[in-house]
Amino acid sequence: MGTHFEILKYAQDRNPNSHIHEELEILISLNNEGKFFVREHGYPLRFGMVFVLPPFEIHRCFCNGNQNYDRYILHFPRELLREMSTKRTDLLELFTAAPLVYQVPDDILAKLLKTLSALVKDTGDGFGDDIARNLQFEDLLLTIAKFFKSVERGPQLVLENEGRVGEILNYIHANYEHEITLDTIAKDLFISRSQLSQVFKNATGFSVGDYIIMYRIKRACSLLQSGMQVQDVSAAVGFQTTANFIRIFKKKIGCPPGKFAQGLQGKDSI
Amino acid sequence: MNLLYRVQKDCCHYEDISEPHYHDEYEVLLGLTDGGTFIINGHSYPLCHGMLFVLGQGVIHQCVANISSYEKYILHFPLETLTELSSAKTDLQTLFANFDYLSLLLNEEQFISFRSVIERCLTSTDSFGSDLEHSMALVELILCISELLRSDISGESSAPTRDYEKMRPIFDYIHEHYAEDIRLEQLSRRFFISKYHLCRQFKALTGFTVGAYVTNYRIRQACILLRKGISVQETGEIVGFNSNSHFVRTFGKIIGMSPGKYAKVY
Repeated sequence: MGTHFEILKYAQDRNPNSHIHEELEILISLNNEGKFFVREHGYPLRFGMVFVLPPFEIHRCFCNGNQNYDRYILHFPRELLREMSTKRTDLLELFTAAPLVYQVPDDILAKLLKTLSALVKDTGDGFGDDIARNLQFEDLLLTIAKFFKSVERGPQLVLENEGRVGEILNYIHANYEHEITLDTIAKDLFISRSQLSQVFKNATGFSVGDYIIMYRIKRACSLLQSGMQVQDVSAAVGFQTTANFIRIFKKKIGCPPGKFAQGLQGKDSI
Repeated sequence: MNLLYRVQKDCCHYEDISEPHYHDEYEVLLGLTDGGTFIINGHSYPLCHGMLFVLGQGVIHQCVANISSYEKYILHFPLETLTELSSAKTDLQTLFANFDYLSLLLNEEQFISFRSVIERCLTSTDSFGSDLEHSMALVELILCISELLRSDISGESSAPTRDYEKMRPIFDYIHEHYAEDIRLEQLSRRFFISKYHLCRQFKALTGFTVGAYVTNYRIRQACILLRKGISVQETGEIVGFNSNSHFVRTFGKIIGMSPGKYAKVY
């Protein structure tokens, strides 16, 4: 059990640079401030909301103004789930199929928070401490998984997007291979440029341009994983030049696409 | 986490009394009630409430417990389980490889926490996640044990009794000849030991009188035969009872059910 995971606790208002990563992410919201955008939906963060994001999911935590939004963020590699999963209990399948968003009831939340605060505080370095910590973390994942499984047939929290954001997202997803600018979107969707920017930013936390880039990088990741050449990928996902693609890819993922393709992942951080 | 292990709560009567034996797995035994003796590498330890034994691979041990009432948890796991769990910092494999056995009387608090962890390994449901919970409980148990091993590694935990070496041939004799009529006079003549001495030493070592041990051993063999599907009548004869009614009565008294019913249940 030599698996690595990372637990971060934020109390500050921080809008990190947009990024996507190969590790899975779990976000546990601790108050009622801020918004979380994932897979085409913006969710207002509520106390006790838990998000599980598969690898390379475009997401963003954001707020308008100076609120604090407390949250725990867990990062862990797919391998951890693969190691844990059994035939009967397939966590890998459950957690990587699609983003999961649920409101967790108080008793389960209390259990999660207890384990988390112990994990954050405990930095013991003695014999067995590492295994004990892994065990606690796995217990945490299992608690979340069991709850999700128990409500699987129940309704996930799904939020309608305000205004015309859905339309804009669909447009980007359909046209990312070609050149898209604010002007082309505005013209094709009969919306003013300033309204477009404002509506989109309010709902997703991303600027339109930033989201287009993120979506292209996300597509690029899966094409690279399927074995396509860097140059071809660059053209396929709509970058004008390969140099530009490589530069942006490196910025968002943390390592150049060639290296990524070889499976040598650079370290990414939030 | 597909960890290999087996846990039982003393469901097999015949394991309460055993010939000296060893496993190529690790064994953990937690005593729930009092009654009997556990002999490890020739040292005898009382089997009692809260007694914890951890045996390394290949350590010869023998269980001499009161077949009718002794309760225990037994857990076996192979070396591979430790290999899989070990990390660079926490080398369980080496820790467990460097010891023979551990015997420790737990205080009540420790006992309760050990028992609850073992019980969590044992509960069997088919629900999502339950298998992982069992495995995680096992990891927790192994970590608890490794803590004990590390604190205990310095010294011998209990004073050894050398008496076992003297008694060993007598055990062997009983295990070979249990089906025959075994009498004290016969044993004392054969092993050049006075009847008085024999009784006293045997009792001191095992907690059993010689007669009670022979009876228990016969019933234990009977359990094995009945499980194999041999008839009650035949079983009684094979394990050395002179009359069938005597066998049925003794069996019922020790096991708590008639041999016929026992054969059906198992």
